[in-house]
Amino acid sequence: MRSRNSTLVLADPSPAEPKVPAEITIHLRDIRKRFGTQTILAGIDLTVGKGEVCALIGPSGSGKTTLLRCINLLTPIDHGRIEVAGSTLCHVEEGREVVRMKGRNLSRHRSEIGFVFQHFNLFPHLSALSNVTLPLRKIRGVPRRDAEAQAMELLSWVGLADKARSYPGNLSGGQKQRVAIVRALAMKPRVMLFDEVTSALDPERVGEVLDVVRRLARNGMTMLIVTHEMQFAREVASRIIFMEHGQIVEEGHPDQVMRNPANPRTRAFLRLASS
Amino acid sequence: MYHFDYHVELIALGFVFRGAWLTLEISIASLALGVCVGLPLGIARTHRSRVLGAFFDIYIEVFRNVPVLVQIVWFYYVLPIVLGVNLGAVTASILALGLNTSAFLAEVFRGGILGIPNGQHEASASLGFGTVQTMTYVIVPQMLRKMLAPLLNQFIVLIKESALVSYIGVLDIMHRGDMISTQFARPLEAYTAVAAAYWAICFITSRSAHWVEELFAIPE
Ligand SMILES: Nc1ncnc2c1ncn2[C@@H]1O[C@H](COP(=O)(O)OP(=O)(O)OP(=O)(O)O)[C@@H](O)[C@H]1O
Ligand SMILES: [Mg+2]
Repeated sequence: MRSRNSTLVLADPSPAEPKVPAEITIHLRDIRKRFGTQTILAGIDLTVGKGEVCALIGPSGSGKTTLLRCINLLTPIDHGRIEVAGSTLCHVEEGREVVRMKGRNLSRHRSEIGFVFQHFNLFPHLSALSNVTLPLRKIRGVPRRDAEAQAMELLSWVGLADKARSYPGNLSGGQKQRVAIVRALAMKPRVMLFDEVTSALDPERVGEVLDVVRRLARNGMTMLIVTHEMQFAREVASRIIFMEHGQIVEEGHPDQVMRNPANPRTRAFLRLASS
Repeated sequence: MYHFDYHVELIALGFVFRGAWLTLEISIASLALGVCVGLPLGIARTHRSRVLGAFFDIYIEVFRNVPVLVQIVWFYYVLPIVLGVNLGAVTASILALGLNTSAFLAEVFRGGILGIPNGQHEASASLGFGTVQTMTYVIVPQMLRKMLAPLLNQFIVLIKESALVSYIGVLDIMHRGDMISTQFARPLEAYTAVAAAYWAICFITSRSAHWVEELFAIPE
């Protein structure tokens, strides 16, 4: 087992030099998924190295959300292999399940994969603070005081120290999403998955959330980000992955993919997205 | 003309109200039993297990379609014969009313659980909570708060239904009314006092229900 990137969040170091991923955090091989007769994922191969920030773009319905949900087994795959930080969560070959993690084992691995949803999914009956401390205490076994101290530190880091006692129902969309990010972050995940975390927000609230993601990127957090914010993707990502019809059509450095896409479909999508 | 005897009425009120505590005790204990049994039943019913489902259907249908008075009598007179243990009248009453309530609440809870958005299950799972933890910390606490209104309503129903336990000799409000009525041969005063007692308890409960609901409401 490797050591966990545990204190990465709080220090804001100078922008890191281009990363050469030494370790693989996410490894997907030939992921296939259908809903009924519709093929949603048609064989996805993807590797995300430690410290990499990958932006996943593509038209609506191309399977981006589904792919993200498959990684932590919220959606079961029909075929392929999912490895996170060296552990195989799921491996299905020709309809035969070689590995499908379940129960405690799966829960333990999920807790190391931070997932941020488009619609926040905060626990409405708990304060912002308790939303963060509940998983810390019940899953990680952190004593209440320590959990609260850690949560407060992270909430301050996203500028929400004064909202710790507020309930989700009394927070704005941008504030809710920042609490949701902190809740995932508090578990000290090896990787963060973001699914269009700003698309349910008022335009004037988008910036505050993107800013948090930006700072995470600067701190070396491994991330896979589904987004429609092209400018943001280009700025924050070390790699852009363009998906269409359940396939990865093109991937590469942001400058290359955005400025000079090799694939005509990527070009068409980017033209539409920027207009 | 019937002459309303205020003196007897006062005696009746005093005597009858001394049964209020027992009536409340039985109602509270029945509600507690109803929640404790109804909650796992309700949760189990959200899972699609055929065998369990069939068993719960029978359980619920039996309690729903047999008169409550018959259930009380059954628990008091029949259960001792079947099990060979004598239950006190109060215990038998609580068992009958409580299990009856559980059958009703199981459906309420099931609906409440299904009403919690799927995103809550998914967020919980993605953080690493198992199924049981998700239920315990995320789903059930939200569901109970949303179901507080029907829960308090059921409590008032229980207070009123508990008058039936006078039939097996429990010295509750109703039974005390019967005694006064016989002793003074004054049914008007006696049962007016009984009505007044139930009215007062239920009125206060339903008025405070609003306040309790607000206290536990999930802030929006
Ligand atoms: N649970 C489901 N059952 C059936 N079909 C589904 C389910 N989830 C997703 N789909 C279908 O899968 C396809 C891909 O959906 P997905 O949400 O992954 O796309 P997306 O790339 O995230 O799109 P968007 O940009 O609109 O969020 C869609 O056609 C959708 O209707
Ligand atoms: Mg999506």
